[in-house]
Amino acid sequence: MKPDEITTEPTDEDRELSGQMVLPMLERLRRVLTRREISLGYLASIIFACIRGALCIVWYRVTRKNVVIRFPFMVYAPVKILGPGSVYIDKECSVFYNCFEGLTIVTLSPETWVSIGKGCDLGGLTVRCRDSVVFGDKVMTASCLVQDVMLVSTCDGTGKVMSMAESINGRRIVIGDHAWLCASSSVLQGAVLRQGTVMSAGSSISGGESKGNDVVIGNPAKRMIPIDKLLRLKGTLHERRHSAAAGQVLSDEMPAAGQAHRHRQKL
Amino acid sequence: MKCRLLGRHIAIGRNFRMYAPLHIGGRGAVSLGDNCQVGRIVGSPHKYTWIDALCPDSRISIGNNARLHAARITAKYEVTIGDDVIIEDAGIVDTDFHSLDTSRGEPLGECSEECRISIGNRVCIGAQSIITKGVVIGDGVVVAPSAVVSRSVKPNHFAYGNPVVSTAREDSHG
Repeated sequence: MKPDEITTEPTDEDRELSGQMVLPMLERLRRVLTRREISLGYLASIIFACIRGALCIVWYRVTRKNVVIRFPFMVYAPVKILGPGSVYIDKECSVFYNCFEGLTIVTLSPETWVSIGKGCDLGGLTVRCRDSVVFGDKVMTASCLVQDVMLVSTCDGTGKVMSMAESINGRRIVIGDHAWLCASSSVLQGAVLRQGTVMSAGSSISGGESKGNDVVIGNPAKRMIPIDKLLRLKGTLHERRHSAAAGQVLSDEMPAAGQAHRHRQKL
Repeated sequence: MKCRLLGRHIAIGRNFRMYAPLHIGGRGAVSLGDNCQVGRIVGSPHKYTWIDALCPDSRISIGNNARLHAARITAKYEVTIGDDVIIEDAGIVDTDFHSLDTSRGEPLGECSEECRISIGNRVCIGAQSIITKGVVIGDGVVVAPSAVVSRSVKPNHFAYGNPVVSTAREDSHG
């Protein structure tokens, strides 16, 4: 195929010839691929993740009664769901690698339940719970720990539960919609993160409660700064910097034109 | 089992159970009490329990009914752990290993009296926490996951955070 044919739009004759639904779609896909909007490798990885997710759904549907995962479930990293409790993962969730870890959910008693909302990006998340953990919609996580008990090993069934450890029960963790848990943060027992909370990197919250739309900072978390305030603070800094560097306007057209030229050369 | 008993001062009590690999290294003395148990945390990638007594003089003694779940205990001087202890995926280190100047040689000003760690009875230490040198943890303490214990904790307290903050436990019963 000549390079001219790839880049040009399909003519009317071609459209008449195809006359079906599939061929225009293929044509569009081909155009998308040839224009390098999505690379072929990326598309292949998406399809592979989708298939892997479907296999994961089927596997847990067959082997475990109380684990329900809704389609589509994109799996780029290993998913481990262990323990006797029930798990519900809503549709459009995806699992990524983060710090070489995928998604790990460990439930420690039959009454335990974990529910994860729609469209969550779960990368390197570890959930260990005895009571319950509730995630809202569109939660983003980096490699972090969500644990609603102090000690996990008291209930793993390998030995006798000690009297003292028995008294340390789990308390429910609630994580609201659009929350973002940064790398190596930990959410411990009884924490309630309302809508739009950001756990900063390395922070840890246990038993606290956020008002919503604020940033949780520190280990242990002492301060919660509202995001509006933080943005205002950053905005003023930005303005000051920009006023200092006024006059230097970057043109977006030049690099784009260069790229297009390079693409043509490649083809 | 990676425990090489030859030529070492290792004493393990009766009824010792091992559900995960245990590594005992170094030249020092290590003693475990009766009914000890070594395991791992479910769903965690860490499975080895490491007990390292680095020097010939160093001593690690662990009491009865201890449960070590992927714990890492390293001693240059002395680590004493009481009875009925649960340690999971935590690091206990009684030395800094290196000095602060750029030679990174032996740490200066460390002595056995200041650096030894002692942990009381009925202590629970959560995952990903670290216990540094010279710390004395009293009886019945609960250390939260991901805490860094750099100062001593009183008996029947709940320790959390980095650096550690301790509050009295509400549900303490001796």
